[in-house]
Amino acid sequence: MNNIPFPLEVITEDEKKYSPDYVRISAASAMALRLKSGRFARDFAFGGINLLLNYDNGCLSDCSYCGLARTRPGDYEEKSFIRVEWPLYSTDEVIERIARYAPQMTRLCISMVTHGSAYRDTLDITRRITEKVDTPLSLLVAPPVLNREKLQTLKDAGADMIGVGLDAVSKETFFKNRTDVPNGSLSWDNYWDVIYASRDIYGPWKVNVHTVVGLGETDWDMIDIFYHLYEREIFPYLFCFNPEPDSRMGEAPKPGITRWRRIQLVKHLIEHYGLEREKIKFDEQGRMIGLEMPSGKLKEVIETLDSGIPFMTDGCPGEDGEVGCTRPYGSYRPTESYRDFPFRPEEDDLTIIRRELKLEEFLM
Amino acid sequence: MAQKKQIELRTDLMYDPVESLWVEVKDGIARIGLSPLVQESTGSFVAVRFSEPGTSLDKGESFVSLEAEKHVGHLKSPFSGIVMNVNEEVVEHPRLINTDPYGQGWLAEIRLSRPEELEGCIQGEEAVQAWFEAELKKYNDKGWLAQA
Repeated sequence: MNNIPFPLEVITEDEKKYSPDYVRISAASAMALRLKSGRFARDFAFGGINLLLNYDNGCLSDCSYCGLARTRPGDYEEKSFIRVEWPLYSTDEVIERIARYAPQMTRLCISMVTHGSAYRDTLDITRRITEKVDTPLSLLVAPPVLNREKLQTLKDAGADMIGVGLDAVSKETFFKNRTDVPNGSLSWDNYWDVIYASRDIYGPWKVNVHTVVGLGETDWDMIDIFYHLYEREIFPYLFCFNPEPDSRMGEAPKPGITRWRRIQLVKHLIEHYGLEREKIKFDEQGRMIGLEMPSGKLKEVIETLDSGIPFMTDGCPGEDGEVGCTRPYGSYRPTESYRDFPFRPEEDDLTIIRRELKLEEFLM
Repeated sequence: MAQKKQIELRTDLMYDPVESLWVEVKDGIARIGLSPLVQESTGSFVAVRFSEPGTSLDKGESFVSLEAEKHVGHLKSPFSGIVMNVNEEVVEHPRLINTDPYGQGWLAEIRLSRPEELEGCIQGEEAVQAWFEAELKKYNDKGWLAQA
């Protein structure tokens, strides 16, 4: 037996550390920063680095679908989040790596959790990052620990975009999944207060709201929130529910692929082609049943479909304006159809997408 | 306490250079598993699906599908033969491939129908070591390995 030296620093169980000096980063981020070995099923450039605050007692919220939920079994440090491991590293080491690989970096994001120290530590880490690197930095914030003054302070420290993980897009589904829960309830009104305050402070198209398909909402709810946000120059970012094992929604099904693809397409048509609300037809249950499309406009649908762009990951942009945060394999397993593509879909992918969309049944 | 991780390489085994499988032959049956370099560079395994025992394989035919956090792929058999056994333990606990690739993380046992196909494998301490060092460099250049 020969031992080949392999230069990877790992943190052992007896050395648990917490934010701000330590952060968890997504498995894909750890791979991009060469902190962790690994590879993607398909080759593509990846530079969207996600950091997550780390605490002994974890997130104090208890959302039904989340891997970090308080009542999900297991220690916080062992919990997966969006189904993958988030290894723990020294914050300064992560920042040193980001600086080392700066040319490949497209977007950085610190995800807060609902915790009493989250604001203080996010500010600390924001300052450490912006002192060392120029890669644009977003913050995915925890509204319960914020107010206008704190949002302004985070902006002054160098964050350029704010994300709010509303996730559940109707008041009813928010209440069911995030408020009426065993521990740590969240408030719909508090979330919207922070969304609007962020919009005031950060400006147009500098705030995004995460919207998850598959938490019990109707298509009408989803489309309605897109219009609501676009009218206020706020980006909705689209996520696909992906059941987290052992969470309270661990056995719930993912949204059907046809529903998901149509929502992706319609969102893109609203955002880029100004699709009018009345062109989208719903049944009495709020299900999207068709898209009224005059023949002159059909070309736009085909063009947008052929570009593949509607089916790519929704995320904060890099400096070049392209999506910089692509979260590969965040909402699907490598064996499944890409729910959102971290790269431009290729012709074979588009063939599958067309089949999944069933466009001929959708266009009226 | 921080520690340096090391890759353990067994030089007493043969290696299939196509899929980086280790091969151990006893009484005409080859037990095969994943080289520690491939397990390291693929990430944590989450699912394993084998061909049924009794399946007849041609050289180059897939015998297992492995899914990791961010990767999925089939492994091709380095030789022709019949699948005698598959490791049900790794079906239940795929991470065994990561934690013990030479031991509990073995994959399958195949009865060789053309033993001469083993000639395609790399064997002998020096040859194995040289092949592995070259593979290490290749994987490193592709960005699949962690760096200090």
